[in-house]
Amino acid sequence: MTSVFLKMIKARAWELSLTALIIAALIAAMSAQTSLSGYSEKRIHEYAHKIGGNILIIPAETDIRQFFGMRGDQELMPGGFPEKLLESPVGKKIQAIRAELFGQTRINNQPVPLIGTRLIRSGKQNLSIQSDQALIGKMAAEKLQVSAGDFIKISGPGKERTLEVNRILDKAPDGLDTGVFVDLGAARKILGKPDGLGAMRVSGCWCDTDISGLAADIEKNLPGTRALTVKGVISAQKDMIDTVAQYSSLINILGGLFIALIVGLSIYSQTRGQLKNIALLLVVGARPWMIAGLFVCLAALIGLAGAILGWILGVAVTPGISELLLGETIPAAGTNLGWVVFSGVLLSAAAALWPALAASRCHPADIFRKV
Amino acid sequence: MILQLNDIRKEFKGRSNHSVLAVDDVSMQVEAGEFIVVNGASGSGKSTLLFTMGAMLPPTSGQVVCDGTDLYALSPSRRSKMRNLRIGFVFQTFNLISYLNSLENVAFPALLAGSSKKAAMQRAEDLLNRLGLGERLSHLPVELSVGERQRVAICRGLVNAPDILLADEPTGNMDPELTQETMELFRGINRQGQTIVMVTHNPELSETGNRHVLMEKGSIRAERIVSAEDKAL
Repeated sequence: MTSVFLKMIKARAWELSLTALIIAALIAAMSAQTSLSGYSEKRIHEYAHKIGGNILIIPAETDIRQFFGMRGDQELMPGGFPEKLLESPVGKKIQAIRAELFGQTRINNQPVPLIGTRLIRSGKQNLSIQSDQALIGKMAAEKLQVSAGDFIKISGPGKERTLEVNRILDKAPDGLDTGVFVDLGAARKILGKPDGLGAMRVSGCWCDTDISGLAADIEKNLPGTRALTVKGVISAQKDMIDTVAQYSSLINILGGLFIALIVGLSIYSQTRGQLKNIALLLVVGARPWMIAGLFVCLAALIGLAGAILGWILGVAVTPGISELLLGETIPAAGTNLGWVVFSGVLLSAAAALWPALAASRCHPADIFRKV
Repeated sequence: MILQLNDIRKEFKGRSNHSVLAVDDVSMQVEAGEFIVVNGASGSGKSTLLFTMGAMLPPTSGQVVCDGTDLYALSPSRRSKMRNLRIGFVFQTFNLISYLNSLENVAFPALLAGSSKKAAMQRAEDLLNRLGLGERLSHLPVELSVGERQRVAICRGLVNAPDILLADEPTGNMDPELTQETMELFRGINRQGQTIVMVTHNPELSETGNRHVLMEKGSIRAERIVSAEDKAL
């Protein structure tokens, strides 16, 4: 029976390969989707950590992903907003506001994100920045090959400035190890944005405060802004995770059903195309369970090939798809090869059961009369 | 007695719900060593009778008893096993498995019967050699002539040394010369003790065996023992 099985595969190699390829494409798509969903969830976790105990105020149109990734052209809010906030009814609940401006610059002909602010927190230290100085994240310093005391020329859409490197930050705030921190005024000149602000980080003691209510009040007092809190992000995260999980489950169920349909149809077509051989095998003594087993094994093999190929394809295409959809290259993750293979084989074998059993129950003479 | 058919009736239901009575109340016995030729016009029910006899087509009513067992009372799996071990088949269109070579086609039923690969291949090779196909062991069916294919099919039918060999129009696609050659082969096998039931629409072959059964409209119209004198005529 094994030789019949192998020769049957050889005789129908093209048809079987095509089915396996279709399954592989579906599995690759499902795998990429899982990776992207997992990555988005992880990102929201990171955002929540970055916000920490602060309230982050940003222009309402700001794309959160681009904001935290320090990419794209940043939306701005009026430069007088910190004062306006302090003067507003919620101002008494606020202890400090750190105003920031972000932008893309070039140093030594290399792209480097610039963060303009007056005070930063590195580890447990608060560091103020002088207008003629720059603090550099560790990775940026390595990339630019500069050390404390060196002078760097920063070019941006505005004026070019030369600043002295005051310190290399072992622990840059908000994980911005690839950035250069300069005084807010200097950043405005370099970036050619004399009045704008990209973000405000508001801190205070809010033990007895309804943070969500405070954020809403801030948004009311500063029209056109969005106030993000950890609670808000966590809540958004929960909603998003629930939505993603819901869609992921639906996509996976539909994908699985489609795979089952493809395999089922393929095996049905195989049994129809080989009716005479099936009848013949039964005549010479093959037991019906052997015939059913032959086609179930064939389906399992298609599922195995499709799953392995699909997993490999998923790993290969996920970075490209993520670049296309999210503008970021992310690796494939979240799909375990063993689980994909197990599911693919099981689903394919199950899908083949009906056509395989139907074929095994045929009466040889009926087939010979018809074929 | 090898096989006994008791009141076999086979009715086919058409799509328009019209039924066709292919075999009508046929009873017969097949004794060991017999060579029965079932003859009749096209549509007389002879092939249906043969398939029913060979546990391939359940009758609408009646019994096919082999060694005290009603073949159609067995489970499909046990019926397949019975077919494998006790019944050999030869078809008009040979029905060889296209992707197996001659040796594999012949050895396959032996492997299904539980023989080791070596033993099955050896037995298949011996049979193919006996029927003059020693040079064609690794040839696929498409690479064989009509006569050679039929001989491979006969070898396959004999590989498990069945109690009975059933042949359905084995010379239907052959020219007169090849028909004679094949009939000689069948007679030779029968002389060695093999029980054969052969169905043919060719009346000239009715004297080939040692019993002739004439079928008409699903029933046995006439039955007679063929004597040596008949054959000489």
